Amino acid sequence: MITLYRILKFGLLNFWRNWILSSASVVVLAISILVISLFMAFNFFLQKAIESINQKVDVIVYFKDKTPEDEILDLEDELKTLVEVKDVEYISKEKALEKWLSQTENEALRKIISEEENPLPRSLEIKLTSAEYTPKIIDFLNKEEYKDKILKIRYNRMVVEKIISYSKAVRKVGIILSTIFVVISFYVVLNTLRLAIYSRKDEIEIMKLVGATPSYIVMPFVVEALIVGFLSAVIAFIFVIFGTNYAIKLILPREILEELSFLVKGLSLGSAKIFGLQVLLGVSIGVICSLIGVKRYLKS
Amino acid sequence: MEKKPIVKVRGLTKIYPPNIVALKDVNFDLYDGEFVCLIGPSGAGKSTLIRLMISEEKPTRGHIFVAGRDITTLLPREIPYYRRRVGVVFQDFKLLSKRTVYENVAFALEVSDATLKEIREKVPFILQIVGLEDRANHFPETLSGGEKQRVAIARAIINGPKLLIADEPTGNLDPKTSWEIINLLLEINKRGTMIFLATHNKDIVDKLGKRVIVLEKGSVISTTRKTYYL
Repeated sequence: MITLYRILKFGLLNFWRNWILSSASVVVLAISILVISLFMAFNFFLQKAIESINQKVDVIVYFKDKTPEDEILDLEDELKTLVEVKDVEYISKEKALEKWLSQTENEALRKIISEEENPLPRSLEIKLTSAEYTPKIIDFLNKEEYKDKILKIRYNRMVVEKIISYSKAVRKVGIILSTIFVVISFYVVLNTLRLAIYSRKDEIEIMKLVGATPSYIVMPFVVEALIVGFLSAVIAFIFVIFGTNYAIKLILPREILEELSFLVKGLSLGSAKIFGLQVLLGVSIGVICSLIGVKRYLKS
Repeated sequence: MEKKPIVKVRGLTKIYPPNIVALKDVNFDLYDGEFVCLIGPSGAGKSTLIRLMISEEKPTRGHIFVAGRDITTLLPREIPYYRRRVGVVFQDFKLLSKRTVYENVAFALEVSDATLKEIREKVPFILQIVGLEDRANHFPETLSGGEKQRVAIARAIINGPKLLIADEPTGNLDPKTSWEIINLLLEINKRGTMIFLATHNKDIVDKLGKRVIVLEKGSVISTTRKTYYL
Protein backbone atom coordinates (compact mmCIF):
# COMPACT_ATOMS: atom_id res chain seq x y z
CA MET A 1 0.00 0.00 0.00
CA ILE A 2 2.73 2.42 1.04
CA THR A 3 4.74 1.27 -1.98
CA LEU A 4 1.81 1.93 -4.31
CA TYR A 5 1.41 5.40 -2.83
CA ARG A 6 5.11 6.13 -3.37
CA ILE A 7 5.07 4.82 -6.93
CA LEU A 8 2.08 7.05 -7.78
CA LYS A 9 3.64 10.02 -6.01
CA PHE A 10 6.96 9.68 -7.81
CA GLY A 11 5.28 9.09 -11.15
CA LEU A 12 3.38 12.35 -10.75
CA LEU A 13 6.39 14.22 -9.37
CA ASN A 14 8.62 13.04 -12.20
CA PHE A 15 6.04 14.02 -14.77
CA TRP A 16 5.76 17.48 -13.23
CA ARG A 17 9.44 18.16 -12.67
CA ASN A 18 10.47 16.92 -16.15
CA TRP A 19 7.71 18.95 -17.73
CA ILE A 20 9.62 19.83 -20.89
CA LEU A 21 10.24 16.24 -21.92
CA SER A 22 6.86 15.21 -20.55
CA SER A 23 5.06 17.72 -22.71
CA ALA A 24 7.19 16.77 -25.71
CA SER A 25 6.10 13.16 -25.25
CA VAL A 26 2.48 14.25 -24.84
CA VAL A 27 2.57 16.32 -28.02
CA VAL A 28 4.15 13.58 -30.13
CA LEU A 29 1.77 10.95 -28.82
CA ALA A 30 -1.22 13.28 -29.22
CA ILE A 31 -0.33 13.90 -32.87
CA SER A 32 -0.01 10.18 -33.48
CA ILE A 33 -3.34 9.46 -31.85
CA LEU A 34 -4.90 12.34 -33.75
CA VAL A 35 -3.70 11.01 -37.10
CA ILE A 36 -4.92 7.53 -36.31
CA SER A 37 -8.27 8.82 -35.08
CA LEU A 38 -8.71 10.98 -38.14
CA PHE A 39 -8.35 7.88 -40.26
CA MET A 40 -10.83 6.14 -38.02
CA ALA A 41 -13.23 9.08 -38.27
CA PHE A 42 -12.76 9.22 -42.02
CA ASN A 43 -13.52 5.53 -42.32
CA PHE A 44 -16.57 5.99 -40.12
CA PHE A 45 -17.70 8.94 -42.22
CA LEU A 46 -17.23 7.06 -45.44
CA GLN A 47 -19.03 4.00 -44.19
CA LYS A 48 -21.96 6.15 -43.08
CA ALA A 49 -21.98 7.91 -46.45
CA ILE A 50 -22.06 4.60 -48.28
CA GLU A 51 -24.82 3.38 -46.00
CA SER A 52 -26.85 6.52 -46.60
CA ILE A 53 -26.48 6.18 -50.35
CA ASN A 54 -27.57 2.59 -50.01
CA GLN A 55 -30.64 3.81 -48.14
CA LYS A 56 -31.72 5.75 -51.17
CA VAL A 57 -33.65 4.40 -54.09
CA ASP A 58 -31.21 2.87 -56.48
CA VAL A 59 -33.36 1.96 -59.45
CA ILE A 60 -36.75 3.24 -60.61
CA VAL A 61 -38.72 1.30 -63.21
CA TYR A 62 -41.50 3.20 -64.99
CA PHE A 63 -44.29 1.23 -66.61
CA LYS A 64 -46.29 1.88 -69.75
CA ASP A 65 -49.89 2.80 -69.05
CA LYS A 66 -51.14 -0.28 -70.89
CA THR A 67 -49.38 -2.70 -68.57
CA PRO A 68 -51.95 -4.29 -66.20
CA GLU A 69 -51.49 -3.50 -62.53
CA ASP A 70 -51.31 -7.17 -61.41
CA GLU A 71 -48.33 -7.76 -63.71
CA ILE A 72 -46.52 -4.90 -62.02
CA LEU A 73 -47.36 -6.36 -58.63
CA ASP A 74 -46.13 -9.77 -59.79
CA LEU A 75 -42.82 -8.21 -60.78
CA GLU A 76 -42.70 -6.47 -57.41
CA ASP A 77 -43.08 -9.83 -55.65
CA GLU A 78 -40.44 -11.39 -57.87
CA LEU A 79 -37.98 -8.58 -57.20
CA LYS A 80 -38.56 -8.94 -53.46
CA THR A 81 -37.32 -12.54 -53.57
CA LEU A 82 -33.91 -11.44 -54.86
CA VAL A 83 -31.13 -11.21 -52.24
CA GLU A 84 -29.73 -8.09 -53.84
CA VAL A 85 -33.00 -6.25 -53.30
CA LYS A 86 -33.69 -4.71 -49.95
CA ASP A 87 -37.06 -3.16 -50.59
CA VAL A 88 -39.50 -2.47 -53.41
CA GLU A 89 -42.24 0.12 -53.33
CA TYR A 90 -45.07 0.38 -55.81
CA ILE A 91 -45.94 3.93 -56.79
CA SER A 92 -49.44 4.17 -58.18
CA LYS A 93 -50.64 7.03 -60.34
CA GLU A 94 -52.20 8.74 -57.31
CA LYS A 95 -49.03 8.45 -55.30
CA ALA A 96 -46.96 9.71 -58.19
CA LEU A 97 -49.18 12.76 -58.40
CA GLU A 98 -48.95 13.33 -54.69
CA LYS A 99 -45.18 13.19 -54.89
CA TRP A 100 -45.06 15.44 -57.89
CA LEU A 101 -47.24 18.05 -56.23
CA SER A 102 -45.16 18.01 -53.09
CA GLN A 103 -42.00 18.60 -55.11
CA THR A 104 -43.35 21.27 -57.45
CA GLU A 105 -43.97 24.79 -56.32
CA ASN A 106 -44.64 26.47 -59.62
CA GLU A 107 -48.43 27.15 -59.78
CA ALA A 108 -48.63 26.93 -63.57
CA LEU A 109 -46.93 23.57 -63.59
CA ARG A 110 -49.11 22.33 -60.74
CA LYS A 111 -52.24 23.07 -62.76
CA ILE A 112 -51.12 21.03 -65.77
CA ILE A 113 -51.69 17.76 -63.99
CA SER A 114 -54.85 16.87 -62.12
CA GLU A 115 -56.36 13.62 -60.90
CA GLU A 116 -58.45 13.33 -64.04
CA GLU A 117 -55.63 14.21 -66.39
CA ASN A 118 -52.62 12.33 -64.99
CA PRO A 119 -49.83 11.42 -67.42
CA LEU A 120 -47.47 10.33 -64.67
CA PRO A 121 -46.45 6.70 -65.12
CA ARG A 122 -46.68 4.04 -62.40
CA SER A 123 -43.39 2.82 -61.12
CA LEU A 124 -41.49 0.48 -58.80
CA GLU A 125 -38.83 2.07 -56.61
CA ILE A 126 -36.17 -0.49 -55.84
CA LYS A 127 -33.73 -0.22 -52.95
CA LEU A 128 -30.74 -2.51 -53.11
CA THR A 129 -28.77 -3.99 -50.24
CA SER A 130 -25.70 -2.47 -51.83
CA ALA A 131 -25.21 -0.07 -54.71
CA GLU A 132 -22.79 -2.51 -56.30
CA TYR A 133 -25.70 -4.74 -57.33
CA THR A 134 -27.17 -2.08 -59.63
CA PRO A 135 -25.82 -3.58 -62.89
CA LYS A 136 -27.23 -6.99 -61.92
CA ILE A 137 -30.72 -5.62 -61.38
CA ILE A 138 -30.56 -3.64 -64.61
CA ASP A 139 -29.72 -6.84 -66.48
CA PHE A 140 -32.62 -8.57 -64.77
CA LEU A 141 -35.09 -5.86 -65.82
CA ASN A 142 -33.75 -5.72 -69.38
CA LYS A 143 -34.98 -9.25 -70.03
CA GLU A 144 -37.06 -9.81 -73.24
CA GLU A 145 -40.31 -10.57 -71.33
CA TYR A 146 -40.43 -7.11 -69.72
CA LYS A 147 -39.49 -5.18 -72.86
CA ASP A 148 -42.99 -4.07 -73.88
CA LYS A 149 -44.21 -3.46 -70.34
CA ILE A 150 -41.47 -1.12 -69.19
CA LEU A 151 -41.41 2.48 -70.25
CA LYS A 152 -38.03 3.40 -68.83
CA ILE A 153 -35.44 2.30 -66.27
CA ARG A 154 -33.77 5.10 -64.41
CA TYR A 155 -30.59 4.97 -62.43
CA ASN A 156 -27.47 7.06 -62.19
CA ARG A 157 -24.81 4.84 -63.64
CA MET A 158 -21.92 7.30 -63.15
CA VAL A 159 -22.64 7.87 -59.51
CA VAL A 160 -23.14 4.21 -58.76
CA GLU A 161 -19.99 3.10 -60.44
CA LYS A 162 -17.94 5.84 -58.82
CA ILE A 163 -19.21 5.07 -55.37
CA ILE A 164 -18.41 1.41 -55.79
CA SER A 165 -14.87 1.98 -56.93
CA TYR A 166 -14.21 4.78 -54.43
CA SER A 167 -15.48 2.95 -51.41
CA LYS A 168 -13.33 -0.08 -52.13
CA ALA A 169 -10.20 1.94 -52.85
CA VAL A 170 -10.63 4.35 -49.97
CA ARG A 171 -11.14 1.58 -47.47
CA LYS A 172 -8.01 -0.20 -48.67
CA VAL A 173 -5.90 2.97 -48.61
CA GLY A 174 -7.31 3.87 -45.19
CA ILE A 175 -6.33 0.54 -43.70
CA ILE A 176 -2.84 0.66 -45.19
CA LEU A 177 -2.23 4.27 -44.12
CA SER A 178 -3.59 3.63 -40.62
CA THR A 179 -1.24 0.71 -40.20
CA ILE A 180 1.72 2.73 -41.44
CA PHE A 181 0.84 5.54 -39.06
CA VAL A 182 0.52 3.22 -36.09
CA VAL A 183 4.00 1.89 -36.84
CA ILE A 184 5.50 5.35 -37.39
CA SER A 185 3.92 6.84 -34.29
CA PHE A 186 5.10 3.86 -32.27
CA TYR A 187 8.68 4.55 -33.33
CA VAL A 188 8.45 8.28 -32.77
CA VAL A 189 6.93 7.86 -29.32
CA LEU A 190 9.40 5.11 -28.45
CA ASN A 191 12.29 7.39 -29.31
CA THR A 192 10.85 10.41 -27.52
CA LEU A 193 10.34 8.37 -24.37
CA ARG A 194 13.75 6.79 -24.80
CA LEU A 195 15.23 10.25 -24.91
CA ALA A 196 13.26 11.16 -21.78
CA ILE A 197 14.52 8.05 -20.04
CA TYR A 198 18.07 8.48 -21.35
CA SER A 199 18.19 11.95 -19.82
CA ARG A 200 17.48 10.25 -16.51
CA LYS A 201 19.85 7.31 -16.73
CA ASP A 202 21.87 8.81 -13.88
CA GLU A 203 18.76 8.82 -11.79
CA ILE A 204 18.17 5.15 -12.51
CA GLU A 205 21.82 4.46 -11.68
CA ILE A 206 21.48 6.24 -8.32
CA MET A 207 18.27 4.44 -7.50
CA LYS A 208 20.05 1.14 -8.05
CA LEU A 209 22.96 2.20 -5.85
CA VAL A 210 20.67 3.16 -2.99
CA GLY A 211 19.11 -0.29 -3.13
CA ALA A 212 15.89 0.23 -5.07
CA THR A 213 14.48 -2.96 -6.59
CA PRO A 214 13.98 -2.98 -10.38
CA SER A 215 10.20 -2.85 -10.08
CA TYR A 216 10.45 0.11 -7.74
CA ILE A 217 12.51 1.89 -10.39
CA VAL A 218 10.28 0.95 -13.32
CA MET A 219 6.84 1.58 -11.87
CA PRO A 220 7.08 5.41 -11.64
CA PHE A 221 8.07 5.43 -15.31
CA VAL A 222 4.97 3.39 -16.08
CA VAL A 223 2.83 5.81 -14.07
CA GLU A 224 4.37 8.67 -16.04
CA ALA A 225 3.63 6.87 -19.29
CA LEU A 226 0.03 6.40 -18.16
CA ILE A 227 -0.28 10.13 -17.51
CA VAL A 228 1.35 10.95 -20.85
CA GLY A 229 -0.92 8.51 -22.66
CA PHE A 230 -4.06 9.82 -21.01
CA LEU A 231 -3.26 13.49 -21.59
CA SER A 232 -2.40 12.82 -25.23
CA ALA A 233 -5.72 11.06 -25.69
CA VAL A 234 -7.57 14.01 -24.16
CA ILE A 235 -5.82 16.47 -26.47
CA ALA A 236 -6.36 14.29 -29.53
CA PHE A 237 -10.01 13.86 -28.60
CA ILE A 238 -10.62 17.60 -28.31
CA PHE A 239 -9.02 18.13 -31.71
CA VAL A 240 -10.96 15.32 -33.34
CA ILE A 241 -14.36 16.46 -32.09
CA PHE A 242 -13.95 20.19 -32.68
CA GLY A 243 -11.72 19.73 -35.70
CA THR A 244 -14.03 17.42 -37.61
CA ASN A 245 -17.11 19.49 -36.83
CA TYR A 246 -15.34 22.59 -38.04
CA ALA A 247 -13.90 20.88 -41.09
CA ILE A 248 -17.25 19.43 -42.09
CA LYS A 249 -18.92 22.83 -41.83
CA LEU A 250 -16.09 24.42 -43.74
CA ILE A 251 -15.94 21.94 -46.59
CA LEU A 252 -19.55 21.00 -47.14
CA PRO A 253 -22.21 23.47 -48.30
CA ARG A 254 -25.09 24.06 -45.91
CA GLU A 255 -27.70 22.10 -47.90
CA ILE A 256 -25.58 18.97 -47.95
CA LEU A 257 -24.67 19.50 -44.33
CA GLU A 258 -28.32 19.44 -43.35
CA GLU A 259 -28.80 16.25 -45.25
CA LEU A 260 -25.71 14.80 -43.59
CA SER A 261 -26.55 16.06 -40.11
CA PHE A 262 -27.06 12.49 -38.98
CA LEU A 263 -23.37 11.93 -39.69
CA VAL A 264 -22.30 14.71 -37.37
CA LYS A 265 -24.73 13.41 -34.78
CA GLY A 266 -23.39 9.91 -35.23
CA LEU A 267 -19.89 11.18 -34.71
CA SER A 268 -20.88 12.86 -31.45
CA LEU A 269 -22.76 9.78 -30.29
CA GLY A 270 -19.71 7.66 -31.07
CA SER A 271 -17.48 10.10 -29.21
CA ALA A 272 -17.38 8.10 -25.97
CA LYS A 273 -16.25 5.13 -28.01
CA ILE A 274 -13.69 7.25 -29.87
CA PHE A 275 -12.37 8.65 -26.60
CA GLY A 276 -12.11 5.18 -25.08
CA LEU A 277 -10.15 3.96 -28.07
CA GLN A 278 -7.85 6.96 -27.97
CA VAL A 279 -7.11 6.47 -24.28
CA LEU A 280 -6.46 2.80 -24.87
CA LEU A 281 -4.19 3.64 -27.80
CA GLY A 282 -2.30 6.37 -25.94
CA VAL A 283 -1.86 4.44 -22.73
CA SER A 284 -0.76 1.23 -24.39
CA ILE A 285 1.70 2.91 -26.76
CA GLY A 286 3.04 4.97 -23.85
CA VAL A 287 3.44 2.08 -21.44
CA ILE A 288 4.92 -0.33 -23.97
CA CYS A 289 7.43 2.27 -25.16
CA SER A 290 8.48 3.29 -21.65
CA LEU A 291 8.94 -0.33 -20.60
CA ILE A 292 11.13 -0.96 -23.64
CA GLY A 293 13.00 2.28 -22.98
CA VAL A 294 13.72 1.73 -19.31
CA LYS A 295 14.59 -1.94 -19.57
CA ARG A 296 18.07 -1.47 -20.97
CA TYR A 297 19.16 0.70 -18.06
CA LEU A 298 18.10 -1.83 -15.48
CA LYS A 299 20.64 -4.45 -16.38
CA SER A 300 23.57 -4.09 -14.01
CA MET B 1 41.34 -5.04 22.05
CA GLU B 2 40.85 -7.45 19.14
CA LYS B 3 37.56 -6.87 17.25
CA LYS B 4 35.97 -9.27 14.80
CA PRO B 5 36.21 -8.40 11.09
CA ILE B 6 33.02 -7.24 9.36
CA VAL B 7 34.68 -7.29 5.93
CA LYS B 8 37.02 -10.06 4.81
CA VAL B 9 38.55 -9.79 1.34
CA ARG B 10 40.20 -12.99 0.14
CA GLY B 11 42.20 -13.59 -3.05
CA LEU B 12 40.27 -10.88 -4.90
CA THR B 13 41.24 -10.62 -8.56
CA LYS B 14 39.59 -8.61 -11.31
CA ILE B 15 40.71 -8.93 -14.91
CA TYR B 16 38.97 -6.82 -17.57
CA PRO B 17 38.97 -8.35 -21.04
CA PRO B 18 41.23 -8.93 -22.80
CA ASN B 19 43.91 -8.95 -20.12
CA ILE B 20 43.90 -5.76 -18.03
CA VAL B 21 44.59 -6.77 -14.46
CA ALA B 22 42.82 -4.24 -12.20
CA LEU B 23 43.18 -6.20 -8.95
CA LYS B 24 45.59 -9.03 -8.23
CA ASP B 25 45.05 -11.41 -5.29
CA VAL B 26 43.93 -8.73 -2.81
CA ASN B 27 43.55 -9.75 0.85
CA PHE B 28 42.61 -7.63 3.86
CA ASP B 29 40.23 -7.40 6.82
CA LEU B 30 38.15 -4.46 8.07
CA TYR B 31 37.09 -4.55 11.70
CA ASP B 32 33.91 -3.41 13.33
CA GLY B 33 34.00 0.27 14.31
CA GLU B 34 37.28 0.95 12.52
CA PHE B 35 38.20 3.99 10.36
CA VAL B 36 40.40 2.77 7.49
CA CYS B 37 41.87 4.73 4.59
CA LEU B 38 42.41 3.16 1.17
CA ILE B 39 45.18 4.94 -0.71
CA GLY B 40 47.11 4.47 -3.89
CA PRO B 41 47.94 6.34 -7.09
CA SER B 42 45.39 6.76 -9.86
CA GLY B 43 44.85 3.50 -11.67
CA ALA B 44 45.92 1.42 -8.68
CA GLY B 45 42.52 -0.26 -8.52
CA LYS B 46 40.77 1.71 -5.77
CA SER B 47 37.61 2.33 -7.76
CA THR B 48 37.48 -1.27 -8.98
CA LEU B 49 37.78 -2.51 -5.41
CA ILE B 50 34.90 -0.27 -4.31
CA ARG B 51 32.72 -1.32 -7.25
CA LEU B 52 33.28 -4.92 -6.23
CA MET B 53 32.49 -4.12 -2.59
CA ILE B 54 29.10 -2.61 -3.47
CA SER B 55 28.41 -5.49 -5.86
CA GLU B 56 28.30 -3.30 -8.97
CA GLU B 57 30.62 -5.81 -10.60
CA LYS B 58 31.63 -9.41 -10.01
CA PRO B 59 35.28 -10.35 -9.42
CA THR B 60 37.12 -12.69 -11.77
CA ARG B 61 38.29 -14.70 -8.75
CA GLY B 62 38.17 -14.41 -4.98
CA HIS B 63 35.61 -13.50 -2.35
CA ILE B 64 34.35 -10.57 -0.28
CA PHE B 65 32.61 -11.50 2.96
CA VAL B 66 30.47 -8.78 4.52
CA ALA B 67 29.07 -9.73 7.94
CA GLY B 68 29.80 -13.36 7.09
CA ARG B 69 27.97 -13.38 3.72
CA ASP B 70 29.95 -13.81 0.50
CA ILE B 71 28.65 -10.91 -1.60
CA THR B 72 30.33 -12.16 -4.78
CA THR B 73 27.67 -14.86 -4.97
CA LEU B 74 24.65 -12.56 -4.51
CA LEU B 75 21.81 -13.12 -6.95
CA PRO B 76 20.69 -10.06 -8.94
CA ARG B 77 17.49 -9.83 -6.91
CA GLU B 78 19.45 -9.92 -3.65
CA ILE B 79 21.73 -7.02 -4.56
CA PRO B 80 19.25 -4.21 -3.75
CA TYR B 81 18.80 -5.63 -0.24
CA TYR B 82 22.57 -5.85 0.29
CA ARG B 83 23.03 -2.22 -0.82
CA ARG B 84 20.51 -1.01 1.72
CA ARG B 85 22.77 -2.32 4.47
CA VAL B 86 25.94 -0.63 3.19
CA GLY B 87 26.27 3.15 2.92
CA VAL B 88 28.16 4.55 -0.07
CA VAL B 89 29.38 8.08 -0.79
CA PHE B 90 30.93 9.14 -4.10
CA GLN B 91 33.16 11.92 -5.34
CA ASP B 92 30.36 13.20 -7.62
CA PHE B 93 27.70 12.96 -4.86
CA LYS B 94 25.18 11.13 -7.09
CA LEU B 95 22.14 13.01 -5.84
CA LEU B 96 18.76 12.92 -7.54
CA SER B 97 18.68 16.37 -9.13
CA LYS B 98 14.89 16.54 -9.38
CA ARG B 99 14.39 15.91 -5.69
CA THR B 100 14.90 18.10 -2.68
CA VAL B 101 17.47 17.44 0.04
CA TYR B 102 14.75 15.96 2.22
CA GLU B 103 13.47 13.74 -0.60
CA ASN B 104 16.96 12.57 -1.51
CA VAL B 105 17.58 11.40 2.03
CA ALA B 106 14.07 10.00 2.44
CA PHE B 107 14.50 8.08 -0.81
CA ALA B 108 16.94 5.62 0.77
CA LEU B 109 14.32 4.89 3.42
CA GLU B 110 11.46 4.67 0.96
CA VAL B 111 13.12 1.99 -1.14
CA SER B 112 13.50 -0.12 1.99
CA ASP B 113 9.74 0.08 2.65
CA ALA B 114 10.00 2.34 5.69
CA THR B 115 6.74 3.74 7.04
CA LEU B 116 5.84 7.41 6.71
CA LYS B 117 6.23 7.75 10.48
CA GLU B 118 9.78 6.42 10.36
CA ILE B 119 10.65 8.80 7.54
CA ARG B 120 9.22 11.80 9.37
CA GLU B 121 11.24 10.94 12.44
CA LYS B 122 14.53 9.83 10.90
CA VAL B 123 15.10 12.29 8.06
CA PRO B 124 15.10 15.50 10.16
CA PHE B 125 17.27 13.76 12.75
CA ILE B 126 19.89 12.71 10.18
CA LEU B 127 19.78 16.12 8.49
CA GLN B 128 20.57 17.63 11.87
CA ILE B 129 23.58 15.32 12.29
CA VAL B 130 25.02 16.46 8.94
CA GLY B 131 24.04 20.08 9.68
CA LEU B 132 21.55 20.61 6.86
CA GLU B 133 18.27 20.94 8.74
CA ASP B 134 17.67 24.39 7.22
CA ARG B 135 18.32 23.14 3.66
CA ALA B 136 15.70 20.41 3.66
CA ASN B 137 13.58 21.90 0.88
CA HIS B 138 16.40 22.98 -1.39
CA PHE B 139 17.25 21.23 -4.64
CA PRO B 140 20.82 19.91 -5.06
CA GLU B 141 21.74 22.47 -7.72
CA THR B 142 21.35 25.29 -5.19
CA LEU B 143 23.80 23.70 -2.74
CA SER B 144 27.57 24.04 -2.43
CA GLY B 145 29.81 21.02 -3.02
CA GLY B 146 30.28 20.45 0.69
CA GLU B 147 26.54 20.62 1.29
CA LYS B 148 25.89 18.16 -1.52
CA GLN B 149 28.34 15.72 0.02
CA ARG B 150 26.59 16.11 3.36
CA VAL B 151 23.31 15.16 1.72
CA ALA B 152 25.00 12.11 0.21
CA ILE B 153 26.38 11.14 3.60
CA ALA B 154 22.98 11.64 5.24
CA ARG B 155 21.46 9.34 2.62
CA ALA B 156 24.22 6.77 3.13
CA ILE B 157 23.78 6.52 6.90
CA ILE B 158 20.02 6.81 7.23
CA ASN B 159 19.50 3.05 7.11
CA GLY B 160 21.98 2.68 9.99
CA PRO B 161 24.64 0.71 8.10
CA LYS B 162 27.50 -1.05 9.88
CA LEU B 163 29.79 -0.07 6.99
CA LEU B 164 30.14 3.25 5.15
CA ILE B 165 32.24 3.23 1.98
CA ALA B 166 33.44 6.64 0.83
CA ASP B 167 35.03 6.83 -2.64
CA GLU B 168 37.08 10.07 -2.84
CA PRO B 169 34.38 12.04 -0.99
CA THR B 170 36.60 15.14 -0.87
CA GLY B 171 37.85 14.91 -4.44
CA ASN B 172 35.76 17.86 -5.64
CA LEU B 173 36.05 19.99 -2.49
CA ASP B 174 38.42 22.70 -1.26
CA PRO B 175 40.68 21.87 1.73
CA LYS B 176 38.52 23.58 4.35
CA THR B 177 35.31 21.92 3.15
CA SER B 178 37.17 18.62 2.83
CA TRP B 179 38.04 18.72 6.50
CA GLU B 180 34.44 19.46 7.41
CA ILE B 181 33.43 16.32 5.55
CA ILE B 182 36.21 14.25 7.17
CA ASN B 183 35.15 15.51 10.59
CA LEU B 184 31.58 14.48 9.80
CA LEU B 185 32.84 11.00 8.86
CA LEU B 186 34.81 10.85 12.13
CA GLU B 187 31.66 11.80 14.00
CA ILE B 188 29.70 9.05 12.26
CA ASN B 189 32.55 6.64 13.04
CA LYS B 190 32.24 7.53 16.71
CA ARG B 191 28.58 6.58 16.59
CA GLY B 192 29.67 3.06 15.67
CA THR B 193 29.78 2.90 11.85
CA MET B 194 32.90 1.46 10.22
CA ILE B 195 34.32 3.93 7.67
CA PHE B 196 36.27 2.80 4.61
CA LEU B 197 37.67 5.95 3.00
CA ALA B 198 39.34 5.83 -0.41
CA THR B 199 41.37 8.96 -1.06
CA HIS B 200 44.60 10.29 -2.42
CA ASN B 201 44.67 13.34 -0.23
CA LYS B 202 47.99 12.93 1.56
CA ASP B 203 47.26 15.72 4.02
CA ILE B 204 44.06 14.08 5.23
CA VAL B 205 45.58 10.62 5.56
CA ASP B 206 48.60 11.87 7.50
CA LYS B 207 46.61 14.07 9.86
CA LEU B 208 44.00 11.38 10.50
CA GLY B 209 46.61 8.88 11.66
CA LYS B 210 44.25 5.96 11.02
CA ARG B 211 45.12 2.53 9.60
CA VAL B 212 45.94 2.69 5.89
CA ILE B 213 45.60 0.04 3.19
CA VAL B 214 47.92 0.81 0.27
CA LEU B 215 47.07 -0.37 -3.23
CA GLU B 216 49.64 -0.27 -6.00
CA LYS B 217 49.21 -1.70 -9.49
CA GLY B 218 46.31 -3.82 -8.30
CA SER B 219 48.07 -5.34 -5.29
CA VAL B 220 47.92 -4.53 -1.59
CA ILE B 221 51.41 -3.58 -0.47
CA SER B 222 50.58 -2.68 3.12
CA THR B 223 47.65 -2.99 5.52
CA THR B 224 49.22 -1.64 8.67
CA ARG B 225 50.66 1.82 7.94
CA LYS B 226 49.25 4.94 9.51
CA THR B 227 50.55 7.53 7.03
CA TYR B 228 50.53 8.15 3.28
CA TYR B 229 54.27 7.58 2.95
CA LEU B 230 56.58 5.62 5.17
